[in-house]
Amino acid sequence: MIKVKYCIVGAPDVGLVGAISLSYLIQSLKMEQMGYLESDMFDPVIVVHQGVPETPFRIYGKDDLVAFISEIPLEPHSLFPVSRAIVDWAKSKNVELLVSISGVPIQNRLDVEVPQVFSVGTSPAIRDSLKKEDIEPFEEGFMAGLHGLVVRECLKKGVASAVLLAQSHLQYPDPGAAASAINALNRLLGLKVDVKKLLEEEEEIRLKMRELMQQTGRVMAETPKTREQGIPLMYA
Amino acid sequence: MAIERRGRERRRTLTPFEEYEEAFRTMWDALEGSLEPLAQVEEYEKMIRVTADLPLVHKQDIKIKVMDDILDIEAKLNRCVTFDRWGTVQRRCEFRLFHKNIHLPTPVTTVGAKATFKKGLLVVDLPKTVTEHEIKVE
Repeated sequence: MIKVKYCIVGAPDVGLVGAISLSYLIQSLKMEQMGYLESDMFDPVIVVHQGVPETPFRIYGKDDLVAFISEIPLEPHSLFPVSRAIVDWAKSKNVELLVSISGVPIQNRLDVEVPQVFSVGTSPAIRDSLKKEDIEPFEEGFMAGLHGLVVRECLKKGVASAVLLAQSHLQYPDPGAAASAINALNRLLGLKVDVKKLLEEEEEIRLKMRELMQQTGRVMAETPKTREQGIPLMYA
Repeated sequence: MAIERRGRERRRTLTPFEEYEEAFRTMWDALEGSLEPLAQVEEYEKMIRVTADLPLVHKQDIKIKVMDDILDIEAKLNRCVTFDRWGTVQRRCEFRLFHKNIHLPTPVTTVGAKATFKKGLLVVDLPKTVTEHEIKVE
């Protein structure tokens, strides 16, 4: 049985930050596919890569690191079984930390040279390590989408979890935001993933991810994403 | 003439058939060799802001045209983009430009219009055509 220390999760949503980050991490670290996630709630599609059919939600691993990545946008109702499956698995493996990566849209993204990364930790210890690595806390607000539900499941099941949210475009693929998220993850997990190539190929990635972003935008419109701009109830 | 007429079409809710068509619409045109850029339209009180993501484009290669409530964006790519081993119809596709026709929610004027291009993102601000008339309460 393999020993898993860290789990990272990313799916297409805001600026495709989670999807771009995970796909770059998997490639850079040369992680190998070790499984996949399946649900009747996923869109009826299969992806073909270089002639080989593959399921769109895959699990990769290398050493004690495991990555969950979805290549298709996830419909809101499918997020429940997906987050449950991921967290149940992480719990069964006694994972030390489960990290979700996503984006947080900002209006003046064009004026921001290096996007900042905000974080949420499910325990004081994790919040401390995030603080120690200078990853600012996301103080007040909502998180909608896979990362939000993963945190909810982690709280329920007592799995240590962190979310990294990079400032990004909402509806344009944002490799720059993904680079910031990876740099934060590097510090948090002690990885050494160089984001140079990601930034060099930024424009090409933006061009090639247009369609995925378009489909993701349609799905996001059905998720309570707008709630993320709201302020939560104060004395509940 | 045809363009002008199309330009006067008002934006309305899509019919189920159009929605279906929209869902199956591709973001490229192999015959024209063009790719459709991602674009957003935001409506403000006095103007419409259109943004479009145009990676691999030089500023001087962007052409913007306005026809009443249609904005036409064409931008040459700074190099041909090919998709190898992709799809079943086209084994190899070459694209050399971005092209998109955007329907605006209201007619606009080019007087006072402004366009900027930064980090591959085009931002066009178009003042709305003023058709407001005040009605006095007697």
